Amino acid sequence: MSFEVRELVKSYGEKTVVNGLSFKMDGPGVYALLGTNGAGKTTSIRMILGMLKRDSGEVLWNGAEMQPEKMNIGYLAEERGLYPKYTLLDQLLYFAKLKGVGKTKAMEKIKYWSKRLQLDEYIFPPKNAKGRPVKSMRAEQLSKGNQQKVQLMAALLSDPEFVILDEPMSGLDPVNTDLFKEVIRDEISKDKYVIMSSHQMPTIEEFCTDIIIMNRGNVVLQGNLNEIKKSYGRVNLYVKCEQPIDKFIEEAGLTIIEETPAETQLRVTGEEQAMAFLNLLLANKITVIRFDLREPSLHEIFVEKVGAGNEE
Amino acid sequence: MKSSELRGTGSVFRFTLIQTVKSKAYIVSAVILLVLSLLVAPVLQLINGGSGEKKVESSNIETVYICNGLSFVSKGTDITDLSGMNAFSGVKFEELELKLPEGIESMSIEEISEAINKADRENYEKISKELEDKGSECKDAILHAYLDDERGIVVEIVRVAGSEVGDDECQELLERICANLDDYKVKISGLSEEELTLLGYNYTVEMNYLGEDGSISAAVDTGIGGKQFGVAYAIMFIVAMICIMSGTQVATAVVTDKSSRVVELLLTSVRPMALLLGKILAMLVATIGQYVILFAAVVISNKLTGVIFHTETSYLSSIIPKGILSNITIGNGLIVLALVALGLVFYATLAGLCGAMVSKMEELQDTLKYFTFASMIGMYMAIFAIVSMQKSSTSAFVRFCEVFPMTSPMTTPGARIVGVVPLSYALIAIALLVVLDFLTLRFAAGVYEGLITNMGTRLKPGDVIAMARNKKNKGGTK
Repeated sequence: MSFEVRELVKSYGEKTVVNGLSFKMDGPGVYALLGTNGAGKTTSIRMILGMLKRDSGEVLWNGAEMQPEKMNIGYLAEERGLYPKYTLLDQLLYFAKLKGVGKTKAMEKIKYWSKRLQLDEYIFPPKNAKGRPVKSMRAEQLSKGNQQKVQLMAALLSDPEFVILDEPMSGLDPVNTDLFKEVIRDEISKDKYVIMSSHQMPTIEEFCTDIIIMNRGNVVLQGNLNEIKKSYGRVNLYVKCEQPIDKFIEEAGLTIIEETPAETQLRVTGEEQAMAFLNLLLANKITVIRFDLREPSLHEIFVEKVGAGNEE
Repeated sequence: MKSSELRGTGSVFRFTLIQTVKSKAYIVSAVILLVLSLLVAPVLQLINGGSGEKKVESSNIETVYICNGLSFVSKGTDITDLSGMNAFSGVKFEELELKLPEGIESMSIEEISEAINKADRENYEKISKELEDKGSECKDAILHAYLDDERGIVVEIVRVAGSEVGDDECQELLERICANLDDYKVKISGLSEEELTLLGYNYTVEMNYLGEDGSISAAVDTGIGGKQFGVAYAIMFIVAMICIMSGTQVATAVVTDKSSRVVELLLTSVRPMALLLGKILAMLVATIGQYVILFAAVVISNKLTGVIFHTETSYLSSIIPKGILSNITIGNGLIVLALVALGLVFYATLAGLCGAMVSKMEELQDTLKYFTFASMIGMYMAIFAIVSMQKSSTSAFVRFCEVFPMTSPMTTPGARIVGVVPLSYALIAIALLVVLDFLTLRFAAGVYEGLITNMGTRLKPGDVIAMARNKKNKGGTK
């Protein structure tokens, strides 16, 4: 099975919000869509899902035009939504029904996920003091984080083959972030096709094999994350010494990226320049506590490509 | 339209219907309507002093004095025959003799008539005085029959104010006496009852043309009567109310999907057409359901009122014109149902379109005014059409309103029931509504699709039309 997006274009009047987006997944995996606010990520996802008409381009599933309503797709939208006045159980059963999941199977799934996401006390509240059953809570009675968990549950109820997660972890506390990560990791391990959009670079680095960075509708960087990093080389040098090293940095002609009490981050051209700098420090009897040469982080690549001014 | 466009309509319909029916607003309004409907018949009965047809169990009347200003109301005929009326078994009749002047045989007819009237008046005044003197204890009554130039034969029962002789027994007695009078007419005329009934009918004059296809068209137009007008107007009003109520609910449901941001999740499983159609059908069933409850409650209340007040027919039944609904056949019923259902779909789709134009519930009123405006135009045109039917039921304006899709759902059902809309016009109205519903639904679904993920400011009709045009010109891919 394969999933492919070819030259997607979307314009509103004179403004092109997505300009020639293309990528391909030859097998299960996680593809990341990165970009600043307004870069065109959500518009691209909506076009992939057929919610927005595209001006041109193709979305293919196994080589044929993708028909989302006929597929089993799990979607966690950036614009989170639940019916505030309806009970959680009613709406989860409704979402499952729309995905073609029968009531019995849906109940099984809801029970499983409510336990896993620690929502059973809201969806299946215990009987009251008089021993009478209590109705499932309404969405408006839940905290934002718990509502987000219900939405993740709605996206995964039908055990979808194709999962799209738009900013899945935004607004979650650390405990729930870990819970979400665990669930996402499980979904990935089931050999699913996952597209994830996020502003949280560490999350993307943790899950995604391939990335696309978008800026104002255009693709500015695309490919396998490891290869992209490799192509940049190990140019980030993190140094911590007991004595001041400012004059040696100047002498070696290095650029300071960031200076904190814990360390100084320098930009080098490669291993050779880094080794020359180390020798310079040692020759001047500087006590080196930390000397760490690394590839640039995704965060740095993103900022470089998109511009620090655009980053959240 | 592809079948995949409609996939999931049933699920959307069921969910929307169940949640609507379970909502507090629906339950509260249904309960209020139910209570009001159950109360309408007994309250009307009480307000109108139980003026329905009450069956008297025992009569307090002792003697009925007959002031006979008409020669045929007299003892010895069947007028005072109360056989079978056990409640009146103790009632005695006493005819007061007319004291006519001597030599009446030689008088002219006018003089004789004057003399009879005078004697009758004297009898009436004398017996009235006697009864008055007895006071409220008096259980006697006067049966006075006379001829009035304007009112025809007047048969009245007079009793002392405050006496125990009740309205119901007087009413029942009068009805029996009038029925006896009819029998008497048959008897003295030598005609059969059917022949006499025929004699009593009025004439309705028509001049018609025979068309080439065998159809008959009226050359001289006669308008509808007051009772027909009442029925047509009532049906128009009910249909208009259902249109407005269900339309508002559809718009609210559409905005709820957008404002709660659920719509994006739903769109991964169903197409906008299915979402819109499912909601429209659910709201129609919910609203019509309320009216069915209301109607059923009125019928039950009416029956119960008859039992509680011991009346054969309640006041409510007595104000519904008898025989006016004789046009309700299976065929006409289906035509009326089709017109109403298609009309409701049309108006609900318009409302759904208004709902799609906004993202927040508080903005809904801004766009719902377009729906209200459209439904008001339809309603007022229908009112004018039904009012003008009283003068002419075949005028160009009436015929236009009977087939024009904005007015036909409100005008034609009632008018068809009272028999003023030809079958051909009703079928044309249905055909036009089918076409318009299809086009409106497609347009609304297209706009809905374009606006469904729009969470910005509310759009104006011009923006929507421009959006539809752009789509057409661009021919964008799904």
